Amino acid sequence: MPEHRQALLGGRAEISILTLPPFVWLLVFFLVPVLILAALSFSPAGMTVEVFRTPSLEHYRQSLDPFYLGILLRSIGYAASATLITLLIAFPAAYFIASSPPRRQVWLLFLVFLPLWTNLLVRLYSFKIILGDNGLVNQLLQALSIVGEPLSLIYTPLAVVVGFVYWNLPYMIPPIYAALERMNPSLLEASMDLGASRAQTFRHVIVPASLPGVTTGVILCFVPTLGSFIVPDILGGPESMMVGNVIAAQFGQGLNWPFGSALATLLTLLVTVGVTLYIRYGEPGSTAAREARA
Amino acid sequence: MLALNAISKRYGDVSVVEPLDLVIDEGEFFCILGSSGCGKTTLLRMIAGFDRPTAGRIMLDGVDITDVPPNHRDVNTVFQNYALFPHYRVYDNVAYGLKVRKTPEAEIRDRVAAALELVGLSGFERRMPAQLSGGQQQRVALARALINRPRLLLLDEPLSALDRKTGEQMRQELADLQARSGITFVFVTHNQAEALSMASRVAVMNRGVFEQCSTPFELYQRPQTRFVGDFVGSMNFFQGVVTEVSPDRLGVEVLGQSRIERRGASDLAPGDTVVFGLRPEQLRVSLLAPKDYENGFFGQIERTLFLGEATQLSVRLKSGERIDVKVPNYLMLEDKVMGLEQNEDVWVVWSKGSGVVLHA
Ligand SMILES: Nc1ncnc2c1ncn2[C@@H]1O[C@H](COP(=O)(O)OP(=O)(O)OP(=O)(O)O)[C@@H](O)[C@H]1O
Ligand SMILES: [Mg+2]
Repeated sequence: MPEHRQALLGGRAEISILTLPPFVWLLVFFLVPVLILAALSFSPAGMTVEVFRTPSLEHYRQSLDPFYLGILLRSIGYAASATLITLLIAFPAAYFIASSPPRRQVWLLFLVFLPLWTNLLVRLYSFKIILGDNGLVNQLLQALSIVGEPLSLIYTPLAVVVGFVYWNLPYMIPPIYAALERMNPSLLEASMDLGASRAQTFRHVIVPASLPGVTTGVILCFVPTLGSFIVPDILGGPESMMVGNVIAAQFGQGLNWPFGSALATLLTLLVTVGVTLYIRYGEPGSTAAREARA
Repeated sequence: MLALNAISKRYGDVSVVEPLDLVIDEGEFFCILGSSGCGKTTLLRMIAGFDRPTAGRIMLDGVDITDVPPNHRDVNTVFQNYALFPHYRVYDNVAYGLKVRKTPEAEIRDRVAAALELVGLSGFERRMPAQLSGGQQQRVALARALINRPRLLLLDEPLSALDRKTGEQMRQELADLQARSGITFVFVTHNQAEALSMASRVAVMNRGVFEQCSTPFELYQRPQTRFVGDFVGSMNFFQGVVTEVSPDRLGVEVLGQSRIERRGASDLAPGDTVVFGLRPEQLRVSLLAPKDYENGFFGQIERTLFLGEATQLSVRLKSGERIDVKVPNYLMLEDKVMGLEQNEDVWVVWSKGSGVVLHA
């Protein structure tokens, strides 16, 4: 936090009192379960105190089996492609909203958030109807004689990615919108004034201004997608199983909690390291990237 | 070089700039002076190409540029709020115009260094805009525009956010910079001191209309309208009636008693009502009646106002009018002007050559 903002908020003591409740909340409901999970992952069998006497790395060895590594890689692939497509759709949408008159912005943002009013499960089932063999898309394609036989859309990797993009849009658009809305509009005029074309203005002014929002949006989409199990469960087939499905199965029918914990712990580590690296080096507006360029 | 032909701007029913004509010559330092909301920025934005005029044409070097987009006009702007790119260092801000024109890297480096040197910011290349003071940001904005060597540089109140001392120093530097670069400047301001001290010509704008366009000296000494007289400097105004018109003399009767002789608008005829204007610093107070080369009113000191470099006396005339007199402080005795007390009776005196006669 920059010094001046800290000064505005008051001294350190005041900050710590104000941040105490959320801190306790995080401790109880996030850190404690994560630690229990981590401990459980070293248990030789079942949920016992054995873990403290004879900790075992067996479940980690099992996690690194090529079969599970393959699923992990596929999950990363799904999450990355879904996030990228979400970004490509969300950016123009956010730009459009940010350049609308203020009153219309409120309504457009309302529409963006509207899907969140309904349970995700219900919304995903509606995709079955839309993408099914006799679904809306196939009926339309057949009516227009674009295809003869119905395409198999549902239960494919495509359906999973479409589901993810749909799920993620309300989390990607708002941060990008917020970043663009904060941008001083006279920067665009300054850019044109200095001889830049529209495309150059987009690349050199609008994109850099949007980067903080893009970073937030990418993290908000990529991380939950990577660990998701509902979307592949409902829209995917057997070959689109993701790491989230494997973990869920260990806690469900598989009844192998220690193995599920090991997978979950690995995933958490992966996400933490990945996000840290992304914020530090990956994003073009990051401190490190700027230092490197200069 | 720049010619505005009957250019105007309306937003719906509201007319912001009335049709106006203007010709600016090569190498001029042209000032547009007007109060807030009179349409200065709107006029500048039409020249830069951000707003389309409702009617009229804009010519640059004889070419009609009315429909040319801003990035293809050889015109650069220093914005009212500077509009520096917050995510770029000073170097990249200044280099922007050259980069988008695909200038070779080596040339960019040399020209950025030269531009920063010109505005006295060498060594600031790696700073971010947020790490600069207002005055420094203003210089970066100037360097960023000048580096493109435009035909025309537009400046929208660039000094208004600076403190008075820094602003005055920048006036000098801007005038020097303009003279050295030879680039034509169009400078917009609401500050008359800026306009008078830097400009080769000043246009006074009022509600979308040019009231007067002339050299600073003409503007101050021979305002053509009551608005200009009052807006540039300050002025005492009196109703008057023309009594006598001859090639070298104009007689005006003011306040029913005094006969004032003054050269002035020559298209007047005896009997016309006019406005007679006198600047506070053209007047002096005296205990003695005016000499024959002087005019005078008799009144009572109502109020004194210490201004620092001078003292302003408000004298209430017998007829009820009030007249402001500015007395330089070398006439101070203790803290009183010439030892004068409030409520004391004095003559307010001026030379017959002073004052302007304006159409009512
Ligand atoms: N887009 C617009 N729509 C409607 N009215 C506008 C618009 N832009 C400017 N105006 C009006 O035009 C008038 C002139 O505005 P302009 O910005 O040119 O003033 P200005 O002389 O630059 O003032 P300032 O010294 O405060 O910068 C103002 O009354 C303003 O409200
Ligand atoms: Mg303005």
